[in-house]
Amino acid sequence: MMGRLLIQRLGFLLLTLLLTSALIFAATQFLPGDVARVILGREAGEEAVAALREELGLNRPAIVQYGSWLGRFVRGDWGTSFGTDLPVRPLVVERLRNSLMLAVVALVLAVPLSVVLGVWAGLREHGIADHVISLGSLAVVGLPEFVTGVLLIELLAHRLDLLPASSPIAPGTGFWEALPFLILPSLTATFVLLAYIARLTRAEVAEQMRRPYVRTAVLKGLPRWIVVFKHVLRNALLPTITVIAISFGWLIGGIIVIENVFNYPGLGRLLLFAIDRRDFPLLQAIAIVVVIGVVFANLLADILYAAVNPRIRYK
Amino acid sequence: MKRGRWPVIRVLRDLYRKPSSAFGASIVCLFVLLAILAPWIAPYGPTEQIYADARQAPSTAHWFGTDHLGRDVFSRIVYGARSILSLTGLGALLAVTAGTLFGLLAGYVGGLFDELLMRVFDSLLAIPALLLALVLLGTVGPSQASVLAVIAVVYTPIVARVVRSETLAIKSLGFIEAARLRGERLPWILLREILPSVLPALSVEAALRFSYGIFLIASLGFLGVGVQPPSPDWGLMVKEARIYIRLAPWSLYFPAGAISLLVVGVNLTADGLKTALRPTTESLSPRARRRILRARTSAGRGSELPAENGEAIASIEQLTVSYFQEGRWLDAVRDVDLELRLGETLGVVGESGSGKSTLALAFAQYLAANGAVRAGGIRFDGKDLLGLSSRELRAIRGAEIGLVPQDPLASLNPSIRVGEQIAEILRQHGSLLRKEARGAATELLRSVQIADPERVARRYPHQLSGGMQQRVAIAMGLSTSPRLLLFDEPTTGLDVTTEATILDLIADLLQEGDRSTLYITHDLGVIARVATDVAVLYAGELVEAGPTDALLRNARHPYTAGLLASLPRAEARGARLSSMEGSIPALDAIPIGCVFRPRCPWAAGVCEERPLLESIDGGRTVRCHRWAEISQADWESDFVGEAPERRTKRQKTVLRVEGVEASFPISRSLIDVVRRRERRAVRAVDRVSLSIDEGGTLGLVGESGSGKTTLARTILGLEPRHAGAIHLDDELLPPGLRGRKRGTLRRLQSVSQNPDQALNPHLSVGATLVRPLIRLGEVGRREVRLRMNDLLDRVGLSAAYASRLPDQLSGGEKQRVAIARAIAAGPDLVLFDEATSSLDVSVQARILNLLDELQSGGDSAHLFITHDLAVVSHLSDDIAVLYLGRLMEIGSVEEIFAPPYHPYTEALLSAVPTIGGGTGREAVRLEGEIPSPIDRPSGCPFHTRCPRRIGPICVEEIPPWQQDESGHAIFCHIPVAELRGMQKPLFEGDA
Repeated sequence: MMGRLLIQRLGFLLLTLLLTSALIFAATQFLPGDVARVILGREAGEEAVAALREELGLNRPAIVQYGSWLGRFVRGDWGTSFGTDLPVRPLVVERLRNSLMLAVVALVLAVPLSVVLGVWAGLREHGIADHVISLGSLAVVGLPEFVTGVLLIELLAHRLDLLPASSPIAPGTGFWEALPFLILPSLTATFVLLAYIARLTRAEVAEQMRRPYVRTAVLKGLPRWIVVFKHVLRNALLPTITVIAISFGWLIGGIIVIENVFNYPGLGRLLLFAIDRRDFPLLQAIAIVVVIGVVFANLLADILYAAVNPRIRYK
Repeated sequence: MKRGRWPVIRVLRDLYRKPSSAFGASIVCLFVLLAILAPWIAPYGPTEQIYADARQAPSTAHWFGTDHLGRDVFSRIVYGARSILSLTGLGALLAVTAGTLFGLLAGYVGGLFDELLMRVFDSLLAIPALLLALVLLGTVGPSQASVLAVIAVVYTPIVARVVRSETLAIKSLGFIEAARLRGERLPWILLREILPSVLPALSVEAALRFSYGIFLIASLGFLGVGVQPPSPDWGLMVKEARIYIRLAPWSLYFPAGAISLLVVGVNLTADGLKTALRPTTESLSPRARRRILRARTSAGRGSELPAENGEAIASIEQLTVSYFQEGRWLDAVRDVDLELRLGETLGVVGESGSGKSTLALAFAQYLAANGAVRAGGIRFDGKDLLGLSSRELRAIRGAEIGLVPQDPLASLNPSIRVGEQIAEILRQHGSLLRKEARGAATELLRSVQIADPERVARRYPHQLSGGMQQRVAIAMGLSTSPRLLLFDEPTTGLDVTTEATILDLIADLLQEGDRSTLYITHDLGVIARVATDVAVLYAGELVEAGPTDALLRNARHPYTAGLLASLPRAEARGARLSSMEGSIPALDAIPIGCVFRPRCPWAAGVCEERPLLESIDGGRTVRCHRWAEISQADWESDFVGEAPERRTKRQKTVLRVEGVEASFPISRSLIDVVRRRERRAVRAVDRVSLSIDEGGTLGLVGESGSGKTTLARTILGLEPRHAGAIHLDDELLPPGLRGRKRGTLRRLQSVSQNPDQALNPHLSVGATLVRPLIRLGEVGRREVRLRMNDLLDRVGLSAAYASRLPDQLSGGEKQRVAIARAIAAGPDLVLFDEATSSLDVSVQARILNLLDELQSGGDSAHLFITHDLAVVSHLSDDIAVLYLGRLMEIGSVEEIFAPPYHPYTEALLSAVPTIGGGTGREAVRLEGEIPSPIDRPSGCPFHTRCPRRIGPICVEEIPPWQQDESGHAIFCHIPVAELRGMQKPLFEGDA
């Protein structure tokens, strides 16, 4: 069963990647109008533009352009950045490493805390703790990262002088060296994640508590902690796996903003640079890399979910 | 929850009832007002620079101060609200409109269109929203128009997904199928039938999109790729003010606060909408909580319980259990006294709303969050259960009080192996070691007649069949040999043949052991089988109790008598059923005096006073003023009206089904395609031939999985694939609905099983009935009102019902409307698919009588599908028995109910629980469960379970049809004469 599932999911994953890459390619290649004109600027002569168009292969049919672009991308040739004239790949990989560090720290901070809060609120549905956690998380979800980020900087860096206000990490900095610079940005990311995961966990726990099997367990005379930990959480935390995977997509959106708040040299900053310079090869590469990350996170969650859920494992 | 005429007002009221959502909605309203009135409210223009006032702190001149360029922050925020709300509102509107259209189409039409669209949308969804927005803006360049477009592109797929899944959930409901059966066009079905039901989810989704939209636009503004300076965009204002956080913090804090406040406001509103539109559990206010808690703790304390009866293990004294709802207590159980003696099984019987489940839950001390015992006591083993601490309660639960629940699949933990689920009780109460407990659990499984207990113990609940799950649940209830065993409808939802074997098991188990048992059910037949004593509940009150045999033979209370008379019985076919008027009162409308008075044919002045529970002869009690005056004979004649005369059958055939096959392809995975595995199909209906005469009724019976519903849907044209031919009169019906003309559609209508899904919840009864009159009946606008009232009258509803919404109807009334809709245009054949099986007995009786009447009045034929042999025997002229998609036997009612039987028919008949008369008859039981149609057995499809199997011929060869002159046909290898020789009649008078 599992092998079959894995193959099926991998198939879907490839299909999704194919489609998203086509979408991204189409958006960056055809939406701006004439890419060659964009690169050379308004003043460039018609001839120069035509020459560049020929050089970039823009006169070929769309599908051919996409095919050759995809082929090069898969082989590792991600092109040259318009903005820096440097090869795209090392640039993206270095920044990707930094962004991942940030993401990992944020997840490590947010996931355990939010699950605990969510479970706590869910077990006391409509109780005071639940109201505080539910409304609190609803409010926190409303704070955009750039607001929380700016406020945290003002409070923890400027007023209290606990942590560095910006995070200009030099290339090649190790994880432990970078950690002090990671705390504030990841704390900012944690806020939104925390609220999101906690809310969904709460809903699931509350829902499971109403299931008839919980009544069965209570009427067996089992102590409450066994009912909760053995019976309820086993079922309630299953969907949390999926929730965490989905929140990974959120996290990425958040990280793009956060990196710009903290001047953190990750993919998000690079992305804005690419947009600013209309650097399409860079833009494409970053978008694809991010999508690959999201899609694989989902795949991982799917597999994990199936592996721990007996209803799928033994179908 | 009743729905008013103006759902919008109701939603708004609910929104303002909850403080958090009221707060949220007020914030949103405030910002909307600011946005609309911006030019009048803002003291300065959004870009007006007052140089002299650069970076001024908040003051009376500039409430929020001025920014680094000397612009008034308050004015910019007000104009900013205008910009962000109009952008987001327009973007969300675009996304919602497009998403709704795509979602409705994809969900309803399905197929390749759905597949392709959803692949593209899923791919778009795999790109994080902000990233997608940045990529798009990065390529087309930032501007207001592009931000708007981006919002629409980013959010359309999400909305489409939500609408699609809602549509999928709705599209197979009864009212949509009814619309298809009257040939409604696609736009009508999507916009009039589906869209209103999608709206609640859609409006929540729209609110969420609106909130994310604000978030997104503000973030884009902050990143400098959204709305461009000098526009008053909040995100942009934060970005610009960052550098001056020291010099002019107000120019940062105010816009940041505005964004946060608005998003929080929208979120709170969306959250409130969610609960207002789809009420889940009623959230209790702290005050209500305190009241419930007080009621819970005060009951049982101090109330003196009378001295214990020597024999009683458990007793209930003057018990009143209530639910706190909308600020008041509703009593679900009132003043009930019960006594459970050693070795006794007390059956508690009642229809839905009688309070029987509440009673069982009170015994288990597991009431819903808003429930409390408000008076009286529950005594168990000398202790008052209400006064126990939770620790003491834990020691009793499971150990001394066991529960066998309804719906075993939901009641077992889906993620724990069943062996462990039993073993944990043994460890908890018997202090057994892990290994010992495991062994004991296996033994328990063996004791409930599970053939391979070691293997079953290692399974998860979903891997077991329904019957097996219930056996596991029984083993669990019995595991600690509790002194009190509670059964809560343990066989409801099981197939007849499975129910019969489980009832055998329960009856066996109840013979042994020194315990007492409380058995809750709605089924008098089950009571007759298992209970030594019966208590009849009506609207929360005990109306009659006593020893089973005496009570069922000679009911004293009019309600019990009425209930017994409304039960269709196989042994008393053709008799008109009782028709108790009205229905069980709702908890907030309990009549004063005798609760049964409004429905009682013998109600008199004295009944306005509440009758007491009187003890009468033979250990019986009854709560009725007039029980002594009314003799049993009178009751029967009063309840049982005149049976309408059966019309003489005309020998003209309406429907002829010949060799019909229906199958569903099993979807192949990619791997199967690659390996070139053949596409397999499940054959749900296999070479079925039958016919129905004009004005006649054919009953189609079989267990679940027998293919009876598929057959009906194939006839109706809802399942397009079939081989064979279906003729309506002389017209050959095209396989699907598409090829059928309006005239054909008119002639073939149906009534489906679930009354709650049969009617469009957003259309009034009148609108529901008018539509088929216009579309199929070709009734003119002027006449339509008259015809509709006529229809209502025919199904026994007053004209006042025309303006009601389905929510305001009871289950029986809904089913009447569904019947009226089906007969509106005068069909030649109506298919009833389990049309009464979800109704209470007394309601069912009235619907069955209605069908009788309709048939004696008009000339439409009926095809009545059911699993309930008693019901078909009551209604039908002919009966067809279906097993695994194949016809097993077909003949007139008399022929089916008398030997020779097909062995499967014999088992079905033998499984029907009966009240009296059925004692001493041979029990024919089937092994196991109906096989999956994917692995259809070879030869005779019934051979794997047949108790009368004669040998390899049954496995190897398809049996012959043995037909006599009258048309009675049996599909079996055993010669008819032999069958007759080995079978005894199962019903008296059917020799």
